[in-house]
Amino acid sequence: MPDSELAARITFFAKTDKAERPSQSAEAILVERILAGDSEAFAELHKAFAPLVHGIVLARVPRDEVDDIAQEVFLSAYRSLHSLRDKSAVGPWLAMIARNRATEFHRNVRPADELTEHHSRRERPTAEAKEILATIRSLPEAYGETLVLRLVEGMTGQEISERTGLKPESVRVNLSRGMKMLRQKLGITE
Amino acid sequence: MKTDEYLWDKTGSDTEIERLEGALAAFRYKASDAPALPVESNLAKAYRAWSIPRFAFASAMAASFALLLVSIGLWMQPSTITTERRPELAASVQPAIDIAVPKPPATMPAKAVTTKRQTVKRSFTTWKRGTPTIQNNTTARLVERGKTSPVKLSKEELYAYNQLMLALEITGSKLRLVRDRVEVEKDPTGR
Repeated sequence: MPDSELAARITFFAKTDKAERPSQSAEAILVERILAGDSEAFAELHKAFAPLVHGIVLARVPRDEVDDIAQEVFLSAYRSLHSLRDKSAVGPWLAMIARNRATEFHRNVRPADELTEHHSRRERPTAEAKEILATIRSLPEAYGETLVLRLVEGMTGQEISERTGLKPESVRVNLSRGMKMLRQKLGITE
Repeated sequence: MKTDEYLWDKTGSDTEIERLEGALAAFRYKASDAPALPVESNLAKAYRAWSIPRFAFASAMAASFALLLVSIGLWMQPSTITTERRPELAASVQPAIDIAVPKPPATMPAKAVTTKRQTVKRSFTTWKRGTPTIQNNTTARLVERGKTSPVKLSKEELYAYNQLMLALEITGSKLRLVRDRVEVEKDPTGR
């Protein structure tokens, strides 16, 4: 394993301290409301974390599968929300479910699945966009995920840190090294 | 030289990153409704609504079973039965039938009859309705030894006595059936 990838994995799994996440009490309250049967709270949770889940899944699976898998992530989270011990850590928990679902998808993937991308009803991305995304996906997982959250979902480094539970320093390193590798692979000169 | 500030918090400017962001915008998450909550949520509510009466029913069943066990336990262990006789009733009736009962000891109250219930090995081959009771057997033996004196009962008392014996026999037979059933279930081989 290359040193850069190893470093990426190390920084990827370095979690933040709980005190560093500001809105943890709001997240906990949201979770408590959902557990009490408040469906509007679930909609709020979805609205707040859908870009995070979408980005994490998009970094790993074909575009046409992303929406379905993201929905599955939220449904799975809803079913097992009572098992969440630290209710203020719902973001990192959702991120973990999303990563697991993406891994599960690749375990059961059929060869023809990649061919369905052009049937999407969404705005059709350009060939350049597809190439960039494919290049990001080829990066080490931690770099690719962080870059998708930053470049595709438009989150700032601080937002990525807060929602994924990663330390801000780790996110900064992932962004910096990932961007450097992306530039190299795309042939962009600084 | 480029800094990572735009990459970190979008402050400043970085044309190359802005170009990448623009190209990748087609992949960005489009706001959509939250997924419909699963049917299980309704089922969970129904389960919660049913759980309280179900708990009450289970508690009632457990209490009934515990009461049954206590009743069987009390029945199977020897006990002392003390019967107080009403003096005015005893004085108002004429003695009609003599039944030999043991003489009470001198220290006991004169108007109280205390009998010790004995535990005897019972078997269905020898037991049948109408046979003398244990107390009667004991009384007969005591009479033979000359340690008893006859107690005279009126018709009403005799009738009440027979009714009581009949009720006790019925209750005893029911409890024996329960006990044998329990023993069979504990050891189906009968060993």
